[in-house]
Amino acid sequence: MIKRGWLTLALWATMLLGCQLNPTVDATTAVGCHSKHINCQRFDYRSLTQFNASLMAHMERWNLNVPSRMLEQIHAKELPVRTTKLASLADYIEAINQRPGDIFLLVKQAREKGFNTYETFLMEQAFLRSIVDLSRLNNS
Amino acid sequence: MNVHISKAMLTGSLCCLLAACGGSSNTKPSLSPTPSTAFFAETASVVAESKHDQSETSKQSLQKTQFQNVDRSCKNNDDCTNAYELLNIHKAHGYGLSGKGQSIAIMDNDFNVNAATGGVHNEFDSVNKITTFGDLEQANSSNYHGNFVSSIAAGNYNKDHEGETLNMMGVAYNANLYITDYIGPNRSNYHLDHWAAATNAAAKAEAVVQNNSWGYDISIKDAQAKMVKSGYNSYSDWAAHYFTTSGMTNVDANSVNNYITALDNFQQQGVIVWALSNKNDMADADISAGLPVFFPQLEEAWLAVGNIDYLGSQSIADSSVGDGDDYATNFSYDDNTKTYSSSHADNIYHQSAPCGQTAAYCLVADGTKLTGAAYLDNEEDYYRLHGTGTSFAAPQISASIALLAEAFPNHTPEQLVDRLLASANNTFFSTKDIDGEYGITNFGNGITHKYSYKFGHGIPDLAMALKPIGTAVVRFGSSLDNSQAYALHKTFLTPSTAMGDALQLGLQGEKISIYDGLDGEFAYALEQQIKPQSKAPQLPSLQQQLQHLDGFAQAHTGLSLSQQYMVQPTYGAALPLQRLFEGYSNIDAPSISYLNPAATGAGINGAVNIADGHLLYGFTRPLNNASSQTGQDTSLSLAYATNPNKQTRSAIVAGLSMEQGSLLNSIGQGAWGLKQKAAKTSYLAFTGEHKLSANMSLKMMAAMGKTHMDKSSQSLLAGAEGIVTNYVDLRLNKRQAFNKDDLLSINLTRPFRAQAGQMTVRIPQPADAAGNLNYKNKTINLEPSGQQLNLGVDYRTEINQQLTLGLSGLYSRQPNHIKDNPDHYSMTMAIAWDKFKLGLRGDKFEASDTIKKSALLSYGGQL
Repeated sequence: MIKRGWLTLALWATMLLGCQLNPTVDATTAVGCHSKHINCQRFDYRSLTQFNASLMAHMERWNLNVPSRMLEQIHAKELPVRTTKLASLADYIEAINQRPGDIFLLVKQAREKGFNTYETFLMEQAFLRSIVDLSRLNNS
Repeated sequence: MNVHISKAMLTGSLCCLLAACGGSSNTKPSLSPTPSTAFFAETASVVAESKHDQSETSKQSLQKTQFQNVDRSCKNNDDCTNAYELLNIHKAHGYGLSGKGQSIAIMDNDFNVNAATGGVHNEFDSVNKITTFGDLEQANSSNYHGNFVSSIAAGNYNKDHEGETLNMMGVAYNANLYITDYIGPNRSNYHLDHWAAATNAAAKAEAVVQNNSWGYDISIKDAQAKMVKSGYNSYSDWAAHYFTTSGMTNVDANSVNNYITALDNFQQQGVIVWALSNKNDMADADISAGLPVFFPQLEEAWLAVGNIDYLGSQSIADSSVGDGDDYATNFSYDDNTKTYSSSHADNIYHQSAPCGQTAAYCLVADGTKLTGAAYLDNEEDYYRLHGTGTSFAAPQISASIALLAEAFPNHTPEQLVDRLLASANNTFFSTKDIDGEYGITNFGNGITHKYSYKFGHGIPDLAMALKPIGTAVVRFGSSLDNSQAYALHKTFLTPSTAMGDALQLGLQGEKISIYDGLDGEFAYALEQQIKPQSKAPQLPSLQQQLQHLDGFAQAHTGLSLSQQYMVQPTYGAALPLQRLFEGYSNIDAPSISYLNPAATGAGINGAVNIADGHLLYGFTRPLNNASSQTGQDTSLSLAYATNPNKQTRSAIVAGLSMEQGSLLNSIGQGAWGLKQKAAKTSYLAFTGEHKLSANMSLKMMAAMGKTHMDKSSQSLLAGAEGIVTNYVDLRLNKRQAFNKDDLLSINLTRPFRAQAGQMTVRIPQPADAAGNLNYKNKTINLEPSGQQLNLGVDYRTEINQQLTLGLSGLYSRQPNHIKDNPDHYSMTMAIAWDKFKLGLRGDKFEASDTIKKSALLSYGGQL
C-alpha cells in the first residue's frame, strides 16, 4: 500500500516536471502541454514498438484515423544526413511535415539536443497533423 | 306613328348586328419589370411519375455518358440505379437547372484547381468556375480527395468530351466552386481560425452551400461521455482539448466559438452540409456532422449526410434494407470490365455512421463506388474509379441545394433545407429494429415528414423537391408574410360565352407565381385555370324542347292596362323586362346577364298608359337572408311598349344593371373570385314583331350593353371596362304552314357576344429577395376570335288534342364565338302524347362521323 502511494507520487512528479511551459512560446490561453487534460508524455520513445503502441493507443482513445500507409512509414532507421543540421523548433516541425515517418528518431534527436517537453510536444502535434486523416473517404 | 318607331328600332338593331360582325381579338399587354427569375414548373402537368417514366429532357440527361460515368457500375447494367438517378437529379437537369449562377463552397484538401495547385483539372476548367481562399494543397496520384468531392458537386459537363470513357459531370455542373483547404500545404491551415476565416470568406462570396466531406470520427455519445468524465463544463472547452489531441496547437474555447460563429453567420445565406463518419459501427452521428447537437444555433440550415449503397433497379418504395454482413459477401469485381456484380437479396445497404442525433436534419445518398476527378499529371486528367464514402454522398446533397437555390431564388437557406427534407423519399422505411427510432418533423402548413435514427429523412428526391409541397396558393398582398392566400385547386374562372376564347388567347403563355406550403415559388400557366368553352354551341335542353310543345299556338298578349297607371310591388322579374319577352310568338329568353329576369329579386314596378302604349318602369334588388338569396342583380329599367294588339308590336328597354359576384355571367372562384365585386351595365334592348300577313310575322330581338367592373387588388381579375356586348335574333314565323294547328319558324341568331372591351388581369410575379410580392397588370381584349351564327328551323304541330309533334334543326357556325370551332349541326324531335313526352336529339360536328345521341322521356312532367 505504501509502495503504491510512493509510485503514484513519483508519477505525478514526473508529469508535472515534464509539462513545464516553455517561456519562449506564448501559449498562456491555448490548450496545450500546460493543460491538466493534456498528457505530454503520451508517446513512448523507449523503442519503436513502444512508440507505435503508444501512438495507436492515442489514436484509439480519441478516435483518430491514421491511414495504415502512414504508420508503415514510421521507422527507427537512420535519419537523412540533412537532419543533423536541424537547430530550431521550426526546423524540426518543417522536417516532420516533410517526412512524418521520421518522428520517432527526430524527437529522440531533439531531446538529445536539449529541446524541452513542450517543444517536443509541438513536434508531435506537427506529426499528428500530418498523419491524421479527416477525409470521409471510406478506404475499407 | 308606332309603325315608324318600330321600323326605326328594327333598323337600329340590324346596325347592331352588322357592327358586331367586324374585328378580331387583340391583346395589349402592359408589362412591368420582372424582379427575379422564378422557377418555371408546369405544375398542372405534375403526375405521379414512375422511375422510368421521365420527360424527354430528363431522359436526355440520364443518357449523357458523363452522367452515366459517375456510377460506372450501373453503365449497361439493367439491374442497377445510377447514384444521380436515385436522387432524380436528371429530372432537375430536365427542368433546365444546372447550378448556373450559384456558388458552392468546398472545404476539403488536395486540389488541382489553379496554377498554384499544378493546373486545372478538366472538370473545373471553365470560365470563372474556381475561386480560392488561402493556400491549397496540391493533389497528387495518392491524394486527390478535394478534386473528387468538387467534381461530384460541380464537375463540368463538357459536350466535347461526351463519350469519353471516364469523363464525368457534377450534380450542379454549371455552379461555381469556392475552394478552401482545411489542411493546406504543410498543414498550415489546420486550425479553427483558418476554418472560420475560410467560412467567412465563402459567406462573403455568397456561396449558397458549404460542403464538408471531412471531420472527426468520434461519436456524439462518446464525446458527451468523455466530456463528463474529464470534468469539462462547456463543449467549447472540451472541443479545444479534443482538437489539441488531433495535432492542433494554440486552440482554446474562443477559437471554437469563433468558428461556430462563422458557421452560424454563413447560414444567413447558405447551408452547411456535413458528411457523417464512414464508420458504420458507430452508435451515433459524429461530432463534426453533429455540431448542431452541441451548438443548437446551427440547426436551422444544416444537413448531415450518410452513405448508402443502392442496389437494383426497383423503385425506392419497393426496396428492402439489407444487413451489412450480407453486403460484404455478395460482391465480386470484374477487373476486365471494371464493374461490380452482386447477388444481393436486399437493395439498400447502410454504409456509414447513422444519422443518430442529427436525424431530424439528415439525409442519405449513394456515395458508393463512384467515379470522380483525381489528379493532373503532365496535363493529363486522371479520374478515380469506385470511390466510396460519405465524402461523395455529401457533395450530391450540397449540389442539390445549389440546384434548389437556382430554382427558388427567394428561399432562405433554412427553407432550402426544409424543402429537401420534406420531399425526401422515406418509403423504404421498414421497422424500428432496422431503421432505428422514428420521429416526425412538422414543417408547418400541415406538412410533416417522418425520419429515422439511421437514415434521417431518407433519400433526397429532386423531382419532388421541385414540385409544390403541400397546398399551392395564389397570394395577394404586399409580402409573403402579409398576404391573402387562395388555394390554386379552388381557383377557376368560367368565362361568359360572350367572351368565347378571348381569355385563353389573351393569357396564352402567361405565367403567374404561385407558392406551395413551404413558400416555394412556382410559375404556373394561368390559362390552365380558365375553363375553356365547349366546342359545341349551347342548345336548348331537351326538357326545354318538350316544354315548348305546351301551348305553342297561343301568342302571349302581354300586359294590358285598364287603368291610366299602376304601381305594384313585384317579386321576380322587373316589369319592363317582362315586357321585352312577353306578348310575342313564343321565344326563349336569351342568356344575357343584364336581361336575365330570373336574376332579379324584389322591387317596385309601375306602368303608365301613354299614347297607344305603356311606359313601364321598375327597380329590383336581390333579397338576402341567412338561408337563401332571391335574385342576383340590382336593376333599374325603363321601357316603352306599343299596343300588343296592333299589326306591329314592340318594346324597347333601357336600363342599368348591377350584376353581383359575376361578370356577364362569368363565374370566378378562389383567386379569380368576384364575390365582392359588381359588374355595372347600361343597356338597350328591343323586341319587335310585325305581321306580314294573317299567319306570317317577322320578329326581331336585339340587345346591346356596355359593362364595367371596378378595380380590385385582391383578385386575378383586377377590373374590366368598356365591354360592349350585343345580341340579335331574327325570326320568321308562319302559322298554318302545313295544317291549321302548326307553326313553322326560321330563325337567324347571333348569340350574346362581346364586341369590344378590356379586362385587366393582375398577374402575380416573382417575389423579390425580401419576400415582397410583385404584380403586373395585363389588359386583354375581350372580343373572341370568331362569332357564332345560328340558322334554325323549328316546326311544331298539334296533330290532335292528345298528340303534339315538334321538329327542329339548328346549324351553328363558329360555336361559342371561337373561330376554330367546327360547324355544328343538331336535329331534335319532341313528341307529346297525353301525359307522355319524348325528346330525341342527334348532333354532330362538321367533318365528324360521330353523332351524339340523347333522349328524354317524361310522364306528367316527371323525368
